[in-house]
Amino acid sequence: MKVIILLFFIIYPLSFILALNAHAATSTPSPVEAQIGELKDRIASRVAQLKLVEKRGIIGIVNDLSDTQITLTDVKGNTRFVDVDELTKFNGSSNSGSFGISDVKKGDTLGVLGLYNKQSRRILARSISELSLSKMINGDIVTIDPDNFVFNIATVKNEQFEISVDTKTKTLSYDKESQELVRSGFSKLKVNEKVFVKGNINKEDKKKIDADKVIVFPDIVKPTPVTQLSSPIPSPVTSTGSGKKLTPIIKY
Amino acid sequence: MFLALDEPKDENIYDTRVVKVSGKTEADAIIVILTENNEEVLNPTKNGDFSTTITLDTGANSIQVTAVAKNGDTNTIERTVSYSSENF
Repeated sequence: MKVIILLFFIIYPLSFILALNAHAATSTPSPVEAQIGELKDRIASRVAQLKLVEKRGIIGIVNDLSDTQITLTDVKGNTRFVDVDELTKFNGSSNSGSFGISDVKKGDTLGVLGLYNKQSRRILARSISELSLSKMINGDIVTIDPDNFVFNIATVKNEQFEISVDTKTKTLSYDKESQELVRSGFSKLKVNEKVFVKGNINKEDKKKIDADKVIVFPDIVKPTPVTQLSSPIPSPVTSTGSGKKLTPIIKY
Repeated sequence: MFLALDEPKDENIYDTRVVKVSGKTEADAIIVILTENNEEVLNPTKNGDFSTTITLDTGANSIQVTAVAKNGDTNTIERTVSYSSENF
């Protein structure tokens, strides 16, 4: 019994002292531990920063610009804010002379590569290039004018474009058997065929395209016929009695 | 008309010129890929999967992938994909 009491008096104060030491060790870290903690914080901060910023490349048309900022409308119609600094490199579409932000105009098409901040949704441009991109559309051939080497197409959005073909235009046709594109020509185009066109938009009329390349799919034909030039549609005009004349909707 | 494009990711910057274009559509559709300098037509597998590669120009490139059904229906996905060897 005496031994037990003696042990109690020895162990109890010892455990109390050890507990105090342990507490002291956690509340005042050593210099090494402090450095590790600081390093951990810096790594966490850098990781958060890296997650927030990523490399991106966009294409857009210039809406507005200043010495340090360009506002673009991208291919999806979204407004994009591009920041420009002293590290931003500029490349013109032609090799004639230098190209800088002062040469950028509203309506220009630019390709921007840079660092996109997910929080601010802005791109810090590292490279800005002036682009001259072809228009790429597809649709069904609506009319063909063989005299003027022109055909009209209707896109899935019901937009109509007039396509001009000249000697520089390369016309290809998809051959179902060989599953390859083969050489073709304007004379082989037929109304209602599916067609893909790459070319340059006419500066005066954005609904006109000078075709560089035409790819036609003779086996993919729109099932319902569309308007044909050879059969003009009668369009009787009905009087409303109020002086205005309405053109009736004709379904095909 | 079903079309899903797995690669390339929109607005990605690649450090190689040749990038993969892959996705899924209807098995009997035709896939048409148009870029500024090239065009490719391919047929998907029986599962509707398709895969090919395209070569990018330096800088930002616009690519257009269209699935065309037998009845003429189409679905087009347009992506901006860039190539740069610079490290920024």
